[in-house]
Amino acid sequence: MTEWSQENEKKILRKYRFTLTFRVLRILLICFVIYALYIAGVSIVFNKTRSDLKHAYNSLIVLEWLHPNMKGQYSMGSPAEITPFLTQKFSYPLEKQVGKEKVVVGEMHVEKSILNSNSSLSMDLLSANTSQQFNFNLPEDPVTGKATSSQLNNNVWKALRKLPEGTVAEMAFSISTFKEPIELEKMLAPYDVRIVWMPLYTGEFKSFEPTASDRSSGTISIYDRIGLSGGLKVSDDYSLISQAEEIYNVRDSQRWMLENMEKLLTEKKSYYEGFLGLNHLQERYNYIKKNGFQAYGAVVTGPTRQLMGLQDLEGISNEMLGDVELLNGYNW
Amino acid sequence: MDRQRKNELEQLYEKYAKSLYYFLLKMSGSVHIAEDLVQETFVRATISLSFYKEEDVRAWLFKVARNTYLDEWRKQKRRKTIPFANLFWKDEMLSPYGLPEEDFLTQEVAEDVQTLLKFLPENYRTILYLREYEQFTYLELQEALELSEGQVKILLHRARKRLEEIAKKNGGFQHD
Repeated sequence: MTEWSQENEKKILRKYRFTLTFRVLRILLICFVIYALYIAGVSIVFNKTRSDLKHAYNSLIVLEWLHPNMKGQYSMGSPAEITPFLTQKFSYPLEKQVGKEKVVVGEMHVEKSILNSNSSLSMDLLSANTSQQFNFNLPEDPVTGKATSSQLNNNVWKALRKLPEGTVAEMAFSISTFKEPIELEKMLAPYDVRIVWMPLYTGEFKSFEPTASDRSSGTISIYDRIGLSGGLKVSDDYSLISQAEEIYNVRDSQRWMLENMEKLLTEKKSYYEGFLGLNHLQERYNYIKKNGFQAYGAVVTGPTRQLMGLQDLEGISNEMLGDVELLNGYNW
Repeated sequence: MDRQRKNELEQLYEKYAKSLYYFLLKMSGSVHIAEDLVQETFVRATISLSFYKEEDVRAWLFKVARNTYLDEWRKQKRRKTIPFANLFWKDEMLSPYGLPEEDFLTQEVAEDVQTLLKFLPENYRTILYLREYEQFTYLELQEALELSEGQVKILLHRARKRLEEIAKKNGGFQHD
């Protein structure tokens, strides 16, 4: 029948609506299947290669260098995810060594996208106290060589005296001359405290201008300084991370630090500056290689009674008290 | 797509369904295929709405319908290469090249111009049908066939000439 009818029109429009709906649903289904296959593929490749391990390790290094007595814990078993846009997301707990035990102080969130400029590290700290940053005073002006003013903080010793026996604490101080870390370690050897971090002079004001610094009342503080920690090393495939809780062996810590700097320098500048937030790495490395390690303070932890003994040390200044824990000092 | 837009589209389709059906019937030569092609035209028109700019709606719908017919023809041609495909798809459609003239010569009577159109190639058939039956203007023909004004005139002239030749071979048109 070739004649047109109302029935014909209705039938065609009905079929049109059905076909249109069917095709839309089919496209949605195809998109969903493609998306699911893509996600599955990306996840399989990600779980095989675990590319997050490298970024996690590098973030741990930078965390230790930039944040006194702060460490992270990350391993093969740590959960990590990858987004459809290939951004790797993972987090790990942040810890401080106070006394003999580690205290969890927050969490580090890492987002590594394909572009370093879109990648970030963000610290989520549990309380305001733990986010306190220790400041260290340079013993002399690096350009003029003129000695800076030392500021003694008697309140720290008063506070330590008031704390009951059995408490442990972390404490930071500056020294009146640049010292090699091994000399500083010898200087502190008679005291039953653990050295967890030392600020290092890496050519600030001489080789490069630090990003953040403060000159007031005759003191010079550098806020984006790096420091020597116990140290980290890793296997070639980044699957096994070894971490020293404190500076047991200064020479090993120094060697690991240089090796890690060299490893980071093989990456793009945008990687360690944009993503990890570590500025002037090349200049710092060159300075240390040429002039050796020079510390100008320390962060130590131990029983409050032992920390009080440091008051007798000659040339220490800018004392600052960090976290105090009440219990674990009994087992010191 | 919002509801109002959807209703507008459906009203548009209701308005042109009949013209498109007869056009596609003339092109394909099959009632079933023409029905299928009309609904396929509407589906494609809805999906490609974003490509529709300021053209005349009628010309645009016929352009979509023509492309739908040509695609269907290609699809059927491909199917013929598949063994036993005829068991599933039985409808034969009119080729874009038209019926061979030998078939025409064996027919006793050429009923009318519409019958003669079947012997023309698709582009001649389309332009003559749109011009003579759908009363398309030159501008609408340009839009529907994606040709320039000059090309439309030349194609129309050649199509008429070819139709005349075929008609002469059969002793002229038969009028009602």
